[in-house]
Amino acid sequence: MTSFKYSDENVSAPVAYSSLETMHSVAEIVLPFYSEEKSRAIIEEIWTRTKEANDKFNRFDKGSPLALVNRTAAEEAVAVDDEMFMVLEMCRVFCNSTDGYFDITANRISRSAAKGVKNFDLDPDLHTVSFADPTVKLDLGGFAKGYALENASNILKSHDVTCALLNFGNSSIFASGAHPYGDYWPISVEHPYFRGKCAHTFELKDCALSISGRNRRGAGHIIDPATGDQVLRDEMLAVTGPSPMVCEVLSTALYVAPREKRKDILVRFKGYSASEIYCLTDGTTKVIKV
Amino acid sequence: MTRKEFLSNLGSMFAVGSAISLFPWLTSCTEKGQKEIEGQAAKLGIIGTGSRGQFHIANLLVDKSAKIVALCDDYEPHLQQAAAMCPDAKLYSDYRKLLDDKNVDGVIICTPLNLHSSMTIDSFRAGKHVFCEKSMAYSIAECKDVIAEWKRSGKVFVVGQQRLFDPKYIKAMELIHSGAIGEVVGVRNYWYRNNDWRREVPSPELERRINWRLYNEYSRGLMTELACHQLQNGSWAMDQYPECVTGMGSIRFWKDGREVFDNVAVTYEYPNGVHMTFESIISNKHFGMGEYILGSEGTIDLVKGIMFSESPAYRSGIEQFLMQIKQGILSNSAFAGSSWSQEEASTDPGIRFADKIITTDGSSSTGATNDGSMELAHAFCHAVITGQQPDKIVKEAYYATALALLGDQATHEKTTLYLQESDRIL
Repeated sequence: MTSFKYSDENVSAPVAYSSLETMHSVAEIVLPFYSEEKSRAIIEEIWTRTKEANDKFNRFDKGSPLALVNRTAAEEAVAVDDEMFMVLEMCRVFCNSTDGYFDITANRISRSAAKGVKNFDLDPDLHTVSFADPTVKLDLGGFAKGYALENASNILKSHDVTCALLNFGNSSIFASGAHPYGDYWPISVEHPYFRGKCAHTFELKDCALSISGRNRRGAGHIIDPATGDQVLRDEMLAVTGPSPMVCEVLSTALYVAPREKRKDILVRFKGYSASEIYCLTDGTTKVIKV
Repeated sequence: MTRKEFLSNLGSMFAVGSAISLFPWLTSCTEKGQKEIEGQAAKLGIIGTGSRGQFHIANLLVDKSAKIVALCDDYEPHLQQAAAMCPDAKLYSDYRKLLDDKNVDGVIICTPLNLHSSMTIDSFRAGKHVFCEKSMAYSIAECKDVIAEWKRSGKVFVVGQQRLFDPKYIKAMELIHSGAIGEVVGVRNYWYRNNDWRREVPSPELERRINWRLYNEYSRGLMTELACHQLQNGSWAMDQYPECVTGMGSIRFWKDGREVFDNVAVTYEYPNGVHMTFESIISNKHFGMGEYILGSEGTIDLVKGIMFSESPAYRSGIEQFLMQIKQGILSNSAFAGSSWSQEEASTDPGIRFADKIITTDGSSSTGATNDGSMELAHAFCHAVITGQQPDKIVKEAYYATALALLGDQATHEKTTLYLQESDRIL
């Protein structure tokens, strides 16, 4: 379901807002300074691209290409399109560059089986993917939002947009330029124990932010590839940097990784910063730079 | 909340007339109902002037449609306390003498449960209208006797199921009947306290009279004193009555000579397969009082007047910026964090479905203000003056009592008991 609002009450800064239910969550955009017609055109292009990504990478949709891969790639090599192949290749690279802490096979059925890139094989000549065994399943849940946000930010750039804010599910955010009345977009993290209370504010300008942690009920939803168990750390892990996709991958990987390994992984990615955000039940917050 | 506010609140909740078609016992609360009795007052006698009786007296003293003309109690301190509240009322120590008083139109019976049926029947026979506190009677057989005598008398009969007059319950039931929470799939009730449920006894020989709730001879314990209110919820929500009940109970903590259980857990099954639970423990108050109607698309918290959706709306993180930019300002509110997903239903703060909601925690053994008791007493006055029986109240009260009694029996026998066809009399 999509919503669209437009206001030109402020003649110096007309503004559009739109939301889209997608990827089991909601994507939103605030786009100032354009006519309603132009705003609609840009936003429609972004949402069309987002829906394509959702349709392709949703493992719960039996008709999606990813679901087809999960059903059949253990029996035979499955041919996939360029985009799917590229995404799986990128995920292999990210898996290696995060010492296996980002792993789209972490959710595989057999917990004792091998993890990481060895679980699936990509044939660059045939554009096929095949699995090492039937327990392997690919889950792009920790990647797709960042990927869709990356696409959206590229569409904004293609239209020379220099002021916009994109939000996917409150955990993946991209700030194009700065707030029309500030030097940055202020993005505050909500304290998990006190609804509406600010735990920490990021000042984003031409920058992405991704946050990983337990869900809002306190339950884990990120799987440790090494054990197959949910990761239940107390802190949230926030990553900022130029690419929404890399921020998404890094926030997941660093959240899973032991604290002592986080810095070693982070320094491999130039231009990215990470913070551990500890929110306590008394309402206080401690933020530690990785 | 004053009655004026109650009426105003009701008016804001419903389209004109719809409340009365859905909840016909509320006639006394309408403008038309008010005009019918303008300038008139029901002449009432209060039988049983202990804490609950005095609670009703306090409410009636501010109700222009009520005039308390007689008081009766065989426990002198209670009678004198009530007399101080109503200095013009005649005093009686024998309720039969009060029933002979021609100046009394109707009586309010606030005595131990074991006395309800005989006093109610005697009152009807004396030509009085009756408001009897819940539960209706000590046994289903006695309830049937009461109903039979009421029908013979042609008089007005009201039982103290005040939730029928509580605005948030009324609105909740309207929402449920309109399908707002989908199909009803469960009903959950609980009532926890942490006190011994005792009243101060000035002299040991008065123990059983003062603390009658604790002894089987007078009371059926938690089921008739607490559950009776809550067991109405499922029937009201689904317009049907349970087929059977199973349950357990014991004296776990308050081993002080009492005979009634200090904790019970019972489950009722409705013909449509829905189960309604009631749990009560009076040695732990952590959960307080709770009443929930669970639907396939939502949940209604009856006590707090909140409706929760199974698919809660997404709380926008960045729509705030739309307003800011419109106003030419920069501000900030917290929204970012780990992923929001559609599965996170339990974090839904819910929607308060009525204004000026007043909640009670169920800790009072006497009665809470604004829980519908004042409106119920007013409805009785209206009925006494007009002679019009409020619709459905007796039926609701009968089944609430019957279910409580059957549940009590099940906890003692530790078995499943069925509501007999012969007990479905209304």
